[in-house]
Amino acid sequence: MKEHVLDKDNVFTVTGRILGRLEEIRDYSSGKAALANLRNSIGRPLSETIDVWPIVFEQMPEHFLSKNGKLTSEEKAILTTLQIYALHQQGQSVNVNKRTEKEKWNNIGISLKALRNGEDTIAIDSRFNTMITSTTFEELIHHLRQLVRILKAKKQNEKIVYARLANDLFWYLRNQEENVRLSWAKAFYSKLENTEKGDESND
Amino acid sequence: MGKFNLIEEPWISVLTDEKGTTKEVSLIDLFENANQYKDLAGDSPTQNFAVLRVLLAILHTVFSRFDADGQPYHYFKIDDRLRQISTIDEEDVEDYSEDLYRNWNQMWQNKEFADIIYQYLNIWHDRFYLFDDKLPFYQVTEAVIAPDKISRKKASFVSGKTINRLVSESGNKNKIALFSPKHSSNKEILTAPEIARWLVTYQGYSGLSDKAIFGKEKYKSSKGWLFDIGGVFLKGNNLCETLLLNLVLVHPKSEYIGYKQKPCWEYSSQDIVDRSFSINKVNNIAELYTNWSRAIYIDPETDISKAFSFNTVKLTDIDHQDQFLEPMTIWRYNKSGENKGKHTPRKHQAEQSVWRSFGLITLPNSYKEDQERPSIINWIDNISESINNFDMTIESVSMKHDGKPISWLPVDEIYDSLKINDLVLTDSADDGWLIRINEAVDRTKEVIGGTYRRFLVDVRNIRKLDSNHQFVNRGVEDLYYAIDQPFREWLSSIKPTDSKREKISQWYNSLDKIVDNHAEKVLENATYRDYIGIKSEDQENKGANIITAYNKFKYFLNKQ
Repeated sequence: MKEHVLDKDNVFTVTGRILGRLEEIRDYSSGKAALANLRNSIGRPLSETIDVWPIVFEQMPEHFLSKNGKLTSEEKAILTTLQIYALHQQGQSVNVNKRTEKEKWNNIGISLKALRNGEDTIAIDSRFNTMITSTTFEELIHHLRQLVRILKAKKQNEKIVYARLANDLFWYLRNQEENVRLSWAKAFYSKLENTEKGDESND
Repeated sequence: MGKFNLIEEPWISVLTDEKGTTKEVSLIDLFENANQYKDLAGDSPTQNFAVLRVLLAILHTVFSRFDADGQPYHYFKIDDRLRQISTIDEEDVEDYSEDLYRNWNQMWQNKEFADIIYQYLNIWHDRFYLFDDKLPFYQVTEAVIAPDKISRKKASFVSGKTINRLVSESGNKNKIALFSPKHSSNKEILTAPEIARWLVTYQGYSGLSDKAIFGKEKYKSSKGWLFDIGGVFLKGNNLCETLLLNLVLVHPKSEYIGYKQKPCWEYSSQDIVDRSFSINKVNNIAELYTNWSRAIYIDPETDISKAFSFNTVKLTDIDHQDQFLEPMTIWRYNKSGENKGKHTPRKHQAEQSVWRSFGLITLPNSYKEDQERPSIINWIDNISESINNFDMTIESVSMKHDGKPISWLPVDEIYDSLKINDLVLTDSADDGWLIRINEAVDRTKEVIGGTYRRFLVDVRNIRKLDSNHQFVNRGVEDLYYAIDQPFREWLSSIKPTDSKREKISQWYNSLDKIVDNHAEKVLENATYRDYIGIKSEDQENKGANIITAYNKFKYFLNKQ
């Protein structure tokens, strides 16, 4: 049994903390405003969307923060993830974020796999492949948002491990895009059902 | 008892100020004062590169195990000699990598190294003796090359003057090699610091002219790993920055992340030799940077007031194919031959400025199918958020050989550098700086090697010079030489906020002007006969003379 180590700051744990905070206040007006601000910030320069700053940056450790005007990989990965979470959570009464331990397989591919049902998977497979073969981060995120919208429309109960998504986006930005592509694709095309990967966590 | 300990005795030559003052320092002195010293200042650029890698191997070893404050990472166990003795769980690799990035960041902010590095060196003090009968640095003991283990009665003899050279001596004993650093009668005598520096260098660049091998069966011998790579590394404003910029704590290739670092001094010389013949691949940077091409034996009782010599036995080559563990080389994709479908390291080309390989060095792998960007450049991508708007230098270094497969004798060095802003260097977007600059390089090469060359060929024909005449080649090289400094100045002047369109146009205007000036000089030297020109055999075509050749050149120059 591995020795227990106090949570330390990495992209996974920091994202988890921010999401935990958002979930706590989701039903209050401040929570609703926070999520709306995140959605409104999509595709816009950060300097124009100062409303999201408190939500995103107050819980980031100092070493994640940019020392110039440009976002760090950590900031970019976390902000992008929160934006997608806000899109996914909008109008949903149940929480769409799945809180779990950090595990390699528990990534966006597993969640999106829920869309591969029935006889015809060609359309969704094509969309997924387009996403993972993106040549830029911006292109990847564009396709990912589309897929999350589809997931929301068709599989309302499906959750995403958003902390894992932030972690993967961070590594995508750090020149590990092949690794990320491969792990998402393995999960998406795997035959295993979700429950075989471990117990559903209590929400 | 060992003599001349590299940890505490001065042996590394460093530049101490902008005026060119140098001094020799110990390992401890170097790490303590790295932010005071400007650069390495050894006997040659290839030596500086070899020594840099030893310094980096120490840093990779220590700071893969300890953080910026000198605290051990909790992902593995550390023994009482500060060695990592267990492997990292696969599930911890990402967290470990994030910690490494964070701590690299911290070291960059600190601009100094944690005291743990001195504890480490102190603990391994006994492995850093230049002369020792049991644990000599970068050498084997006599028992390792005993007569019953090697193919000959004795290991190959290498004279000090072989190791201490900038250019190989000719076979003629009466002819002094060009640029010999010392008068002939003293060339065989080396100081202890010189021996140490050249020992490290020789392990990287030995060539194949010695004979002795282990056992009787032939094997592919190493020429020295550094001999075969097109060395690329980064230089900062002082030695501390240079060391940190090249300290690739998180390998951009994920398959190399998390392996235990294995510098040569943590193993016995017999272990190192045995490992050379093992089928296991090198998987960590410290082992790669301290790779030996030879089992080198130096008599521990060496009297350095007399002519120096040592003995060697060949070790095996590192597999070159897709050896992407190496961050500091440019790559060639092989479309045919024994390496078909694989990348192998590509040496830099003599008489060609490094900017002509700009695309090979800087463009991301997504640019085209067979592009393999050096990992050191991907590393800069990854740390550029921390170093922010920093003007750095890309250095390139290769050893040139004599082209004879039997000996691969080192005969010269290829050394060059480029100054560039880090944000420009990492702008790999589809409409980013790297692609634009690479297009400018390609167009420059086409203008010089295409348009201008064709003009010179026309003039050569008009003058009825033999097709082997050097007129064309010399003219092309003269033009490249004239272009070189303006291109470097243009490149180093690029700021990330500049207008790409304007900046690129600025270069094309300069290029056209310089090329046209050169063509006009050819014109100015025209003789009466050049104006008469030649009549074409074919009556339907006009005859060519130097004016028609020049006009054709101008047409194509303006068309581009």
